[in-house]
Amino acid sequence: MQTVTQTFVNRANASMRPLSWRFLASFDKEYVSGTDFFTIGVSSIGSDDIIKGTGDVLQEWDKYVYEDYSERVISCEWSRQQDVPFSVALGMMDITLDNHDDFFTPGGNSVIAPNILPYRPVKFFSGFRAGNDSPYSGENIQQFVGLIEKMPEVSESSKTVTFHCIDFLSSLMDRPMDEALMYEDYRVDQIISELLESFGLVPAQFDMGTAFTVVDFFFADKGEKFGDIANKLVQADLGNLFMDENGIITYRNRQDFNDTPVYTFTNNNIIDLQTSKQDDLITVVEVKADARSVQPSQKIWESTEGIAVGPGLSVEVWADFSEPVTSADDPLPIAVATTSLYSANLQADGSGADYVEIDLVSTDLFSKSMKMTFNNGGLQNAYITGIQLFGTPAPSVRKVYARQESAQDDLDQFGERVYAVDNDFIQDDSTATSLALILLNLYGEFGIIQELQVKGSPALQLSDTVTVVITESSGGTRTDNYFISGLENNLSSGGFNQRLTLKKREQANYFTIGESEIGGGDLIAP
Amino acid sequence: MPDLSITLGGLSLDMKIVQSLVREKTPNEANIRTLDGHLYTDYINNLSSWTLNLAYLCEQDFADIDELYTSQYSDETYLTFEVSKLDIDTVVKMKVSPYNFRQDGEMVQGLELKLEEQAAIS
Repeated sequence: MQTVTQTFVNRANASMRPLSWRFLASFDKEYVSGTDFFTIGVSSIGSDDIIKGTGDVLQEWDKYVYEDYSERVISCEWSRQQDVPFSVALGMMDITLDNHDDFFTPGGNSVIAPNILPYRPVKFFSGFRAGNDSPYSGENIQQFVGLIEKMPEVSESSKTVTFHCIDFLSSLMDRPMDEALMYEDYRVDQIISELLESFGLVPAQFDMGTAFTVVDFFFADKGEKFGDIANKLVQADLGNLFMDENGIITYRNRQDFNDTPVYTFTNNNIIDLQTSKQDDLITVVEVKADARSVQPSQKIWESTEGIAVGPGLSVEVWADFSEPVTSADDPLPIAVATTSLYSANLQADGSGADYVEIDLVSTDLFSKSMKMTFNNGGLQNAYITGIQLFGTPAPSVRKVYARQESAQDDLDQFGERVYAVDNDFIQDDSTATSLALILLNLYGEFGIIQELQVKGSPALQLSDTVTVVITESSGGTRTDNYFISGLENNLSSGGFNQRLTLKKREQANYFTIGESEIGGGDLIAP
Repeated sequence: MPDLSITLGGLSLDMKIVQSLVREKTPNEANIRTLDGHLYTDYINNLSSWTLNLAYLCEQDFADIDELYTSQYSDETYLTFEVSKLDIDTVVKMKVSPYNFRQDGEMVQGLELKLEEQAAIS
């Protein structure tokens, strides 16, 4: 739950709740005065000057000048949803603005019309105020920061525009990797940090908790989408990746939560209640992976074509590898080489005299390629007739498989409800088995989901633990603790409406030396 | 009638023709009941509206008011509404009720102006 004053809490619980909100947007993407891009030799390390990437708004959204369009707000809906058993939660917002004067009409005559474009940063705040104050001047807390995803929907009949906005994490999902990345023995959170920094984000923009899972060998090729990679990483750790209301990309492992309730819902502040669904129940888990593993040094590339090198000239030779490599030996002349080698001859087909005046000048090793520069220091035309490279590749050679089922009674009652995991970041059978057992332990029971429409508070957040007290028709009460896995908020003339998806938080007990019994129910942590 | 000075769209209304000035406050709010029947209100503001009942209008007075009404559309703007004694200084949209012409066409009877506040100021 976001930190708010007691006054805010009181107003959220009051019978008469004067609403407040603010909507800010930076259509022209103007930077705050005094913000400079980092210049070597001029800027100080740790100063406010920002690293200029592509000029992309993803790098520093707080550095933009935002204009206030609160008075134009007609309605706003914003939501976040966390899936189980793992989650990359994406936030989105739809905001409808008064456009009676065509101010927001793209291509219109207003001063901002040329800047009504996608990928403009926006912020939305919601809260409460003193009854006589303006609706825009209360105690507002940030609810959403992100980007306008596409051109607005303009309604001429109602003279409104609606902008659909996504949070910055959502906008990263389809972003391709600019370069191949490769890490050995990195935790999931460390890998995600590296991926985010490769896009130009700075550490202040994300908060990575410690993951359980270590990936022996991680490889992401250039062009692979961040979303595909992130989903696999988060799934391997059964964690949660999300962007919070203040724009900080956050990672939490499955046990990193506070189970102290921050709010209590009773019949006094619940408007509507829908009972749980069976969809998330799991009785069979099947885990498959083709894990990469670094292999011993071996031949990884060979060329037999004659490559001409004139006297006094240099030539670049590129070797492309079918698998990522962690190391490759520089080729030496065949006469002295023990691993990587090259041969040179006066004839392209190698039928002439050996030529010893061609030297390797430099090499640059990349994850799936190597650039070699050769120089002919002699006086004759010659050919590089063969190159062999030896190195340590990391192919997908480790087949991982595990299948675990619930007890027969559960299978008889619920049938086979299979959750399939196909994730190459799961490195061995032991990890796969542990993962499967955790999933069965956490999601093997029916009836742990509630959907509530409540007299809520904008301060509530995903993963907050809340208490729900239901008064039953018999007169008794049923009290349970849940965590918030989904938040849907709506602000309009119809008030502040909040719909929560609540799930029971089950906890797996892991085997602890000196405490747990062999053959007991405690699980081996992956 | 209290001794009010009423100015609408820059036109000072002769108090002899104003029979009554009725104010109505409309809350911009949502009333919601919870499961146990408990009521709470999410409130944004109160919007005011006024109804001016006018007595017989001579041809000129009617023409002035009719021009005021038309100016909202020709000038694409709402009207200012000021009643200093009641601390009203706001912008309103004016609607005009059906009215009767007297048989000689020189007097209008029963004209009612409905003024709706544009923004919740007053």
